[in-house]
Amino acid sequence: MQNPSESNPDTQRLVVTCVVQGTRCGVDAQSVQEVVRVAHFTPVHHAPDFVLGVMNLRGRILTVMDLAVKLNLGRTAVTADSRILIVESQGEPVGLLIERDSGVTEVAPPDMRPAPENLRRMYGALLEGVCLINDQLIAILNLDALLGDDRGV
Amino acid sequence: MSTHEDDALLNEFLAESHEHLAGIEADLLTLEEQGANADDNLINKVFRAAHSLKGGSAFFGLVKIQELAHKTETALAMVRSREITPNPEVANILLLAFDKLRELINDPAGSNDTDISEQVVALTGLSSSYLPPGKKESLTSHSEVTFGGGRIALKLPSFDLSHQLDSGKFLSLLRLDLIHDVERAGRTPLTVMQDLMALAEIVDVSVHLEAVGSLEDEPANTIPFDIVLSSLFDAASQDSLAEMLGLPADHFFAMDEAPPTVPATAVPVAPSIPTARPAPALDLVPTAEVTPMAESRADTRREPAAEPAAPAIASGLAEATLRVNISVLETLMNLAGELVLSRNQLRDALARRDELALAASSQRISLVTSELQEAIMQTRLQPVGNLFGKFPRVVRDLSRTLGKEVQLELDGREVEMDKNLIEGLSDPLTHMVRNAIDHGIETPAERTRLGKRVPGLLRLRASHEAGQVVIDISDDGKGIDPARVAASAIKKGLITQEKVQSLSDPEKMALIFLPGLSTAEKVTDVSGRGVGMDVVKTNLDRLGGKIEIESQLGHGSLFRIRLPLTLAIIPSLIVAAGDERFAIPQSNVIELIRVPADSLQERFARVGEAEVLMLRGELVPVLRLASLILRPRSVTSADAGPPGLPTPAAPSDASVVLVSDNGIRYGLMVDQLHNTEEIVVKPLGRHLKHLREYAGATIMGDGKVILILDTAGLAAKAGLTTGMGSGGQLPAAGGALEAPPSDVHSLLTFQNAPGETCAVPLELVLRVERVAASQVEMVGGRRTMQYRGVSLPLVTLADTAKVESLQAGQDWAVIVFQAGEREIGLLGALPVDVVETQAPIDGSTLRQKGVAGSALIRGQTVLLVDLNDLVDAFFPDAAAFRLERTAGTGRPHTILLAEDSDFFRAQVKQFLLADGYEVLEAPDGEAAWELLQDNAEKVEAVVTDIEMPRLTGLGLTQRLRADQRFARVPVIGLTSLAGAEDVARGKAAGINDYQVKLDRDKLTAALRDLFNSNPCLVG
Repeated sequence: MQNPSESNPDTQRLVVTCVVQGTRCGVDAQSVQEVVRVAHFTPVHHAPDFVLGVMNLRGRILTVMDLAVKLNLGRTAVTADSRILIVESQGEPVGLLIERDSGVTEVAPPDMRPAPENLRRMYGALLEGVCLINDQLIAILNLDALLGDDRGV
Repeated sequence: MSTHEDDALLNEFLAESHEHLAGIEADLLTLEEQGANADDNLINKVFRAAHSLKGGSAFFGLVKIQELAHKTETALAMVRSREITPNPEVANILLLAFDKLRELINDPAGSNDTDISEQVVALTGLSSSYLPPGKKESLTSHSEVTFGGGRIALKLPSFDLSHQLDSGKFLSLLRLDLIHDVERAGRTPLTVMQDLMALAEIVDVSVHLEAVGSLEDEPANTIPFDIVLSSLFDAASQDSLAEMLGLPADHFFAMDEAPPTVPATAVPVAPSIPTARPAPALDLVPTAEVTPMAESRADTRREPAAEPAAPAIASGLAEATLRVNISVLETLMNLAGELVLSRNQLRDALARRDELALAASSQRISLVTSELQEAIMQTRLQPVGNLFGKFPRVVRDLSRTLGKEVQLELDGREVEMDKNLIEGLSDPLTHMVRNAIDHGIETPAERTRLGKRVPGLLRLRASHEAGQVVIDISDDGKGIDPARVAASAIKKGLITQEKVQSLSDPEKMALIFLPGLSTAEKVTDVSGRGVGMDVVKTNLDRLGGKIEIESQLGHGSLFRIRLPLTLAIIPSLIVAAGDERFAIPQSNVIELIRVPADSLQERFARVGEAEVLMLRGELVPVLRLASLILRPRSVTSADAGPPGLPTPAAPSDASVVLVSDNGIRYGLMVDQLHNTEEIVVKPLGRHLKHLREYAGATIMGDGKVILILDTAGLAAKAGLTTGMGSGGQLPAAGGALEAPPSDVHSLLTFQNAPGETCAVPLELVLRVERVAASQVEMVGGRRTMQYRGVSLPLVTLADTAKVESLQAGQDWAVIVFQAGEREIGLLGALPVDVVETQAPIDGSTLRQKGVAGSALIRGQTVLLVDLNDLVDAFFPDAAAFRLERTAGTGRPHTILLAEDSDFFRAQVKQFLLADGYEVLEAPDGEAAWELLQDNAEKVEAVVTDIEMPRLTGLGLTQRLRADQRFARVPVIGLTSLAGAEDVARGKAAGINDYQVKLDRDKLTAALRDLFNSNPCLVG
């Protein structure tokens, strides 16, 4: 497998794709540790509203967030298809609740394009760009911007 | 630089060097103190350190280390022979030299490219200034010496040569072959040298790598390794030296006779010593001391002593490894053995299905586990002394640089802390010590003038307190001037003039933690290097620590750092609120109280919303965990009914955990008490770190995560404080930066335009309904809707304020509130939520008509709607509504309202007006008093906040009571949750009644009662 890296735009990159409230999103596979089924999580009262709670992942406590809330798409209802995407962000794992996991896709640089103006206005830095795979639009998320600051404004 | 064939060997040398260097600083400081009476053993110890460094580095081709170590050794040799007295100047040069050596050792690969000329010049100057004039040159020149009858010729530093010979020693040369004599004999060059050093002194070492030749040169498989020794063995007795060392006698060569004692043939060698260095000006720092070292002094001064010991701290090598006491290690080994044994027992018991044996082995395993845990924790614990150890040096260097006299006192060195905490504390503590000397302690002249003791006192003290480590940094200097801190903050644009006015002195002092603030009049080399107290605070935050300041102008300051033992495994009490479990650290728990259902009435009392528990004749504030923590469900649909707080459970036994944290004692009422468990504290992710309610999380036996409560954070959230002036308690430095400690208020939030969150005080809301846009009618240019059989007037924020309009085409929320007799609906977009927040309200930045201000809630800026403005703008006749009520009773009652928060004042005023009162408002007690003077006849009641700038509510009441005219005017105190003590104080001052801030119904009811029951007041 090639090692996709931002400094080398010529190589293909792997993107973990998922569905968030009906929207196809993608996250660079490099920052995804694993995808797990939704297990018990403990609610954290007074936490920002995008935080669903904290869960135990093999002895590490990680914050679980609703990706949909982060993207202003409402709340994700937990179903049998729901998964938690474990991503690495600034050295700590964070769980992202998604509607369903839709596998790993290779994205070649030509497929990537900047987000259209209207999308960019809505999501700003949260979107790294979009790409068209099999005529399907995938919004590639910028995890750093999404999870960047402490309280996730 | 030669290649390092053997990394292990180099590592051994480096590790050994670190060991040698470890205690040097303290030793040199002791020598300095002892001066002329310096202890020989101590001098020898320091000398040996330099000496071993020189030997080892020469072997590895680390020429700069060798050169510097050599120069240091030379100076130390003169100290040893009492030619040099270790006065402060001398100690300074030596300290700096060792600092540099440490720096070089930390980076052996880069050491040869490091500039050491400054230290070398200083050391050479030091040595030469004590030498008789004729010998001075020997320091920088080399002399040719021959051994074994001219067979081997070497150049040796002239100084060493003459020094050795003058002290009656004999020089000899030992030529070893690294391959045959060392490698094949199972030795290492280091062990050989160690053996040698027991009997003789090593003057010089050199390896002749050039002799190795290429691979093709078959016979030349030797690497000559020359060691020049100085010992008491002369040429005749050399054989016995060889014998004692177990080396062949033919490897030794005695030095040839008649060496030039004073180098007649001296070759001036100056590899990296710019001898003709221009002497720098001496004007930087004044000095009181006279030293004989004209040459060196300039350089001593030039080396900024402001960063003392910094290289030592930055040692990357030290962090990766941990020294563990052998006995602890043994314990660990034993326990591991025990564990294996217990596992075997367990297997056995399982195989036999022997219940009894199972129980026994379970017990055994639990015992071993806890012992193991303790032993492992011990390996991580280190005495604070390790951290404090560097401060004598820091203080010494700094006070010299700044021309101050400081006495350092260290207390509690034995207090043990986790290694990580010690490392993390190093920088913040150094910075604060620097500050104390730079900004705190005055110059000796100034102190004398003030009649203060010289030297000034700086004290570092570590102690354990309620499961926390407390570190105090106190000085008896000039203290912190809150006014100056505030002025500086204003000047730098960090805070506004208005905000400062509402700050108390401790809060003003806390401004020093704002980024970019420095109170030093001029930026000094010492403290003003762009890092300030804000960095200290950030570092401490990272460690989970808190910092408090106490200062008395002219008398000194105290910085108190509290560090929780968050890295530890702590015993905790598990409790439940609703069906959720929480952990409370046992160190915060004083006792558990169960109040039977039938005595709830007698044991609990209410003061407004504040609950207190009678405990052995004492009143203890009580907080309900469920209402404090559990968040009410979001109101997102029409059938959700009015938002509200969870209702207290039906009467049953009450469980109260009496906790104490940070000097605050209160009862925490929980729904259930579980057991006590040892829990492993795990940090929360960074998105949750800011929540003050929690100290962390832990994983329970069932794999579920539960949250650990921060009892101090809960108290703060509920507005419990110890009250100022009660002594001992310091204001926390956090939150106070932007506004006075604010109260918890409940807000109902809704959306205006997307992304534009607005809020109204929950207390003002009657109901929330969900409506379809189609239900809203436009009648006569105004929105209304049919609601409960009447037409409900509707307003939106955009009607009054310059904000985005509400988006059509979706369902809206109607927030129904009361304006006079009438109900009015405010339209907003969903979702609607209830938040409890303590966020300070900014009443200026976003203030406009219709917007009372803004607050940062959950990371979002929320606009606070001013319902008053909305009503006024759209129903100019609303004022008529208000007056309707009082029309029957004659003229309206006039109430004086004193409240410093613009937001709260506006809200309270709004519902007082709505209830038909006339309101005079004042932003503080003093202004209220002035207003009273002009309206003495008019004011019939006073509603006042307690904490206000200039004059507090208590002060105002006292004045009222002392004045004939107002002695009988009723006063209602507005407060957030208050302690019993506060209530008592208020009553003593003459406050008639306490009401919880923003509980509209209760306040208006109380006022109504007041006027109804006291007809005489109604003039």
